Amino acid sequence: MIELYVTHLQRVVALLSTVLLLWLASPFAGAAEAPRLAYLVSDLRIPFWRIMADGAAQRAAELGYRLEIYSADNSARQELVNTAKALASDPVGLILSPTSSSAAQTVLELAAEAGVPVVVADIGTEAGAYVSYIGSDNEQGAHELGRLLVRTLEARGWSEGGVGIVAIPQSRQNGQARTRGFITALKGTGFTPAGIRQQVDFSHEETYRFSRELIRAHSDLRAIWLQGSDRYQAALDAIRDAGRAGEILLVCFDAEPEFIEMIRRGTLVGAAMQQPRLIGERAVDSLDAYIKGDSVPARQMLPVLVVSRDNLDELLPVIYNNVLGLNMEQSND
Amino acid sequence: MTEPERDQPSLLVSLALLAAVSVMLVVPAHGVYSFFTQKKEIVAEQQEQVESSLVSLSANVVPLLQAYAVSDYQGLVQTEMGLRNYVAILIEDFNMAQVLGRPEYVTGMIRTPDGEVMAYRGANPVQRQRLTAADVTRHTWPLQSEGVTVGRLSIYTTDALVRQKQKEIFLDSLGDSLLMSVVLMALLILFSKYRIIDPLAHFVEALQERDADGIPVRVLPSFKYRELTLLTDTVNAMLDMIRSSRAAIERERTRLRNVIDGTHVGTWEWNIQTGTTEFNERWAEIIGYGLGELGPTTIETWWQLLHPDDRAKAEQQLQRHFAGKTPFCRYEVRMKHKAGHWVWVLNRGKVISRTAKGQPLMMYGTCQDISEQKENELRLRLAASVYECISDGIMVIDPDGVIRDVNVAFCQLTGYQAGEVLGESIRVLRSDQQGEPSYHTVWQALLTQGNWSGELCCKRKNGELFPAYLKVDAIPGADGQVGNFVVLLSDISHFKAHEQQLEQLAHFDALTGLPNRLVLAERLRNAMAQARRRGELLAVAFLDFDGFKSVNDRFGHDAGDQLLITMAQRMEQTLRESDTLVRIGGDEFVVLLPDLTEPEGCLPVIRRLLAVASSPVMIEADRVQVSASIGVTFYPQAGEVSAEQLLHQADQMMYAAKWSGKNRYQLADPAPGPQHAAG
Repeated sequence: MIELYVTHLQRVVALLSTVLLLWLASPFAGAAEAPRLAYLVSDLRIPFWRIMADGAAQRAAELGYRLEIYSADNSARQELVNTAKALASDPVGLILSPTSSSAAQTVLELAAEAGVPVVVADIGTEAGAYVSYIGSDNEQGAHELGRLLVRTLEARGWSEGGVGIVAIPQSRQNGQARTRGFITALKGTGFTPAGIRQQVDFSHEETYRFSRELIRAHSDLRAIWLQGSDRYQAALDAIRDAGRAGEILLVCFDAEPEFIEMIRRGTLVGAAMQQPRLIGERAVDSLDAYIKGDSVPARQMLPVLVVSRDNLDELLPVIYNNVLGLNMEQSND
Repeated sequence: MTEPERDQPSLLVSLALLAAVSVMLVVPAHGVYSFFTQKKEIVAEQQEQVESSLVSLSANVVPLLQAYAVSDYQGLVQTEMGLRNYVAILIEDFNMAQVLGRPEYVTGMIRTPDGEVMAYRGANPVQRQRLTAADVTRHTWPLQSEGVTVGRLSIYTTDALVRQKQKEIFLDSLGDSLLMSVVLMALLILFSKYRIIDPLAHFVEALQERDADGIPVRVLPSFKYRELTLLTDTVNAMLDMIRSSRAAIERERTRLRNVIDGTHVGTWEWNIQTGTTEFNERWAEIIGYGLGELGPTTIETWWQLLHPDDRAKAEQQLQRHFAGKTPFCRYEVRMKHKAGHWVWVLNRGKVISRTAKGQPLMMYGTCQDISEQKENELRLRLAASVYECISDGIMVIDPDGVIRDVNVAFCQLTGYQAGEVLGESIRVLRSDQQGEPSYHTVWQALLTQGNWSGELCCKRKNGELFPAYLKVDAIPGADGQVGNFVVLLSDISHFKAHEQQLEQLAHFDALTGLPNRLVLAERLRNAMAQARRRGELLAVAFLDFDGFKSVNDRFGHDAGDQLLITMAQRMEQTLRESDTLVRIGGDEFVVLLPDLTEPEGCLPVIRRLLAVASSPVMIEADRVQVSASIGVTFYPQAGEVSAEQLLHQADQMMYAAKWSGKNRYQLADPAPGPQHAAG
């Protein structure tokens, strides 16, 4: 799966480089220069952002914009440097996926000073002026995921028990939405939140430790829900090491390419998958509409796909395209 | 309300104004003090806050600065602005300036004059002007990370807060002053009205109800508060004292008037400096005038009425008193009565006040009519001269019999000097003669009757006795009781001698000196009574000389008288002490022989009488001899018998003896009847 991402990345970089070189070498480049859009992304090395950038780039090209992508590599300083550079290039619009909602505020202020409209994608901002915020409906996704887990547990003949939660920081709005949706789904059932641990450094060790603590503290634990996707192995290891494999189920938010097989095998009960490509496309669409003077909703929440073994096959094309940024052929490579 | 009262300030208004002024002075003063105190505190607190903010902000901001977390440290700034009342907090971010390629990158929050906190925009001239305003102070703090300055933190403060505080204090003070003034004035007005003014009005009302002398008649009402009650009590006490004093003065005046009326004296008040003189009605009355007839009166009024001969004396006495030589001025002068005669008056007076220079100013005195006293003095002087000039002795003795006074005649009569008897008992004059009224008898008579008169034998200083006639009268004392006695003492020696002489003539025989028939009758009755009382016998002997007629015839009547004298003497010598020899005429004698137990008891005497009678008597050269016949009878007898009957019986017995031969005796029978014996 990792190889899949690396290959994909290399291809994208090659593609972009080619497009860029062609564009710069073109004799029309200076005379009929397409309006510029800039995408300030926190870290293009992360698939989620890359997929989103792909979606944005593709839609920008489709709409006749020249999209410049600036990755901050998760550095606030770099993000500001990128911002200065991007604004200096006189863009007609800016898509921002900030390193943090706090940092977004500074970028928005700089953009406002420069008079450049901004669409915020996925990671929100604490303040500042922007055209629209486009993100995933985390609460909806978490709620459906919770319902899926309850159905699965009940299908196993369990009517009660606890569900341990290893959460992303609850200071984030997406973290709060995910928790809220999931707990709402458990209400009225025999299953209750047994405990919640917030991730700090998102390490394997941290997730493993949190999982073990939840298992040890709650003997009636029936499942663990990871609010992130990347440390799913740590949770599986903890269940296994606790001797509870098969007794404690796992559900995750977000997606990893290997989740398709894991769901299919039942290692993972299900996952709530955002659609980054769709977000990127929608961001460019919104900027375009704004530039053209159309009204743009200030907040656009895109649905999260809740995938289980039951609907995996049905959703697989969407998952590849919008979630994983792959096409079916590539995935089969 | 009278004009002056309207002009006087109202206590109520004054109290209200006082309260208002006090509040207006005190509260703002306190406000000013509070302002300066609070200003100092505010400045210090602000400074402390700024320093605290600088330190804490810098500590929190630096990491964020390093992390390029502009919005994060902006959030800290906003939080701090929310907590503190700063004008602005600005952060100059060197990193951001470098990243953005700008000369400076300043962010922060600024507070608008309306108090709204908003993001700082360096391009905003209004905001920049606000930061450079005169009342804004900038406090800067370097932001350092590991010794490298990465930025600068600036906090802008303003003294607007102090001014605001000043304004608040001013408004508070003003509000407090007004509120307190209104409340205090209202309270004071209510309090004053109900607790002071109204009671004072009652107080004044009570004060205004006054009697004719202007003294309040009611007891002044008391107040609730002790200070005012003290006033009431004091005024009540003063009024009581005034009433008491007035009553005392009235009593004194009445007493004085009564004294003046009682003593019936005239009074006068003389202003010596002006001559003005006030007299009372009695003064004018003494000299027969009504006071209205004399007015207006001055000292000249008196002077003109003064007897010319007495003016010098009066003037002398007055000048002596004015000079302080006499405590009182007193003199007796005559004044012209309206009727024309002179009236003796006694003037008494005293200078009561003097001028600053010591000159007599006011003199008060009395004028007493002493005309009667003067007449009495005249009479007394007359009486005194009588007392001294009368030939009878006069002495005054007290109820204890002590001599208090004697006159000259007394001294001449008794031979005592006055000093020798004054203080001595009246007994010094006693003679202790038998048969006189006893001193005790006289004294009892004096004490019971108040007077006594009679004869007493007194003793002169030289022991000589003299008969005196005493007339003693009590002199009543002031209490009506017997005080002293005045004794009028007359020497009656000559009178007594003459009286004795007359007595002798009446009761004694001029020839023989023997008792006569008058004495016989009395002594016989006494002897009869004594014999009856004692159960004894009384012998009555009738003696007649035998041959006496022949002696007269032979030797003459002188010889006969001489014979009778000699015989009488001889017979007296033969008798007992208790016997009585009486010549009843011629040569007839009666002898009373009392104290006999039996008839014969008389015989020795009878026989001695016979013997004596028969003894010869030498008359000149002649030897004369006679005898006697004696008839004797006795008493008591069987029947009742009188003195005359006894003499008659004795006479019968004498004749019987004569008939029997003379020179013998014949005894009558003790019982009536025949003769009992003869010798």
